[in-house]
Amino acid sequence: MDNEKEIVMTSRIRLARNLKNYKFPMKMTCEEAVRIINDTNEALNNDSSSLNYRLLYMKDLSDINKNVLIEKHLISPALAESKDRGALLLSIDENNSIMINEEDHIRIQTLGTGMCLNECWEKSTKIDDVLEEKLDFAFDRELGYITSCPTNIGTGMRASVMLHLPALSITNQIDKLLYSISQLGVAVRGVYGEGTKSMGHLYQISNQGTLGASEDKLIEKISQIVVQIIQKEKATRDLLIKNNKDEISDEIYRALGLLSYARSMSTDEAMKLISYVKLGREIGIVEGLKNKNLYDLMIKVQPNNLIANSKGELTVKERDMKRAEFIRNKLQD
Amino acid sequence: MLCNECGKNEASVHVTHIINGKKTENHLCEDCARKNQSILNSTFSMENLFSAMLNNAFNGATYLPSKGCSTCGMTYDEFRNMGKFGCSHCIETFKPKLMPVVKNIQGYDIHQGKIPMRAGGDYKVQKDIEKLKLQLKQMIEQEEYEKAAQIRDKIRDMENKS
Repeated sequence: MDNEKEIVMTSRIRLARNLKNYKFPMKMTCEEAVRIINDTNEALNNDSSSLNYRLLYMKDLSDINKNVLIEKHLISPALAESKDRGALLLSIDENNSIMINEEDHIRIQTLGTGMCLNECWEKSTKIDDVLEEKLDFAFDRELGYITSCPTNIGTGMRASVMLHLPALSITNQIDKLLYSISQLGVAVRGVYGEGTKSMGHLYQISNQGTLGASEDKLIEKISQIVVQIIQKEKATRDLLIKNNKDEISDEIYRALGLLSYARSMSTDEAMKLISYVKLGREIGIVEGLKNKNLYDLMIKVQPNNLIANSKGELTVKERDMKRAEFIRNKLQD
Repeated sequence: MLCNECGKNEASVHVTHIINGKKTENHLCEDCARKNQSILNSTFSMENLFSAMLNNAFNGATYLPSKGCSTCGMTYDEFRNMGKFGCSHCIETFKPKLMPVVKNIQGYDIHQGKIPMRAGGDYKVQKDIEKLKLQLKQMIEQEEYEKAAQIRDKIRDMENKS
């Protein structure tokens, strides 16, 4: 379904696992942390059926490189702060990753484009099986997989989708919608996880509870809610075209104008304007730009991604100018 | 979403209480949440929210363990303050008091999901047999006798092995 691809940006499954014979990250020693990193790395990279994974130690990465990983949703801010204990195993295509010694010993993460929670679950449960062949996981018959925080106990699974909802946001219906879905045991988070704000009309929704239902059931529930949100967003887009075509066209072309010619731009402004243009393309107002990955552009304009792609340090002013230039070039080629 | 109390600011603190199956929700902005000390402690991280619930759940509890977890040394008070376990053994140590809290947070208190191959051991086989028996019943009800026979054989096989 085309609508689905336009509205659901990414799907992600995260599984939290812990080792039975080690203290949890909060209580463990550095030696234990190193042993867990080595054991996990060996369990995964010695398995012939799995992909190749690069091992990255948090202590070896610069702040900018860590922030790039955060902006790409590959690690959490908490892992970046873990310094001498945290590590990341990252597949070459960057779709599979394993955070080691974050809040839990192991957090398997699988990412995919569009609505693909089931595929992500299949992949992550396979990685989980490979790891379990070598590692002793903490498991309780009643409480399932034991996690550091009781909010993740049971399946240890968080299934989340990143939704782009410009029409619902522009027409001020988003708060009401998010409120009603939060009543259904679904958590709504900002772009960069708990406590972060929404940018570029992007919203992340995921299961709140992790215990008492199977992984399939939890995924099914999120999927059903996502289908309904897609329908609402689609219906609102149709209404915008029907009742407010002139106004919305003006907004969208203004956004395109700024992105095409502005000389300096903040992250927030860029995200918002790209969101408008993306909407314009999808409701048939903006012609062209068909082959542009605008969601990818939203990630590339994040501060650290921008700095990492340029030489040397940048001041905020230089960064905003760099961002405007980067967007102009991207839209032109 | 706007704050329930003042209706002005964006709600950033969401508290769900499930008491005897009755669910009540509160969505507050930080200012109102700060004023509403009965719901929250003074900071708003997930762990603090959680430990606030723990404190509420156990006010007036008659039994307190004198010793902490024998593996990591975490005491119940420490767990209550942090809202996090120190090791997997803490679950056993605190289990009797923990179960109602887990039910309060999660809405359920029994795992229904994946069972690991090695760590699950016999329990996995037992659960798999239960699932097959359920399928067998469904097949018989749907008069799919051939499929039912296959499932029956599979169950026998598994029971013989375990």
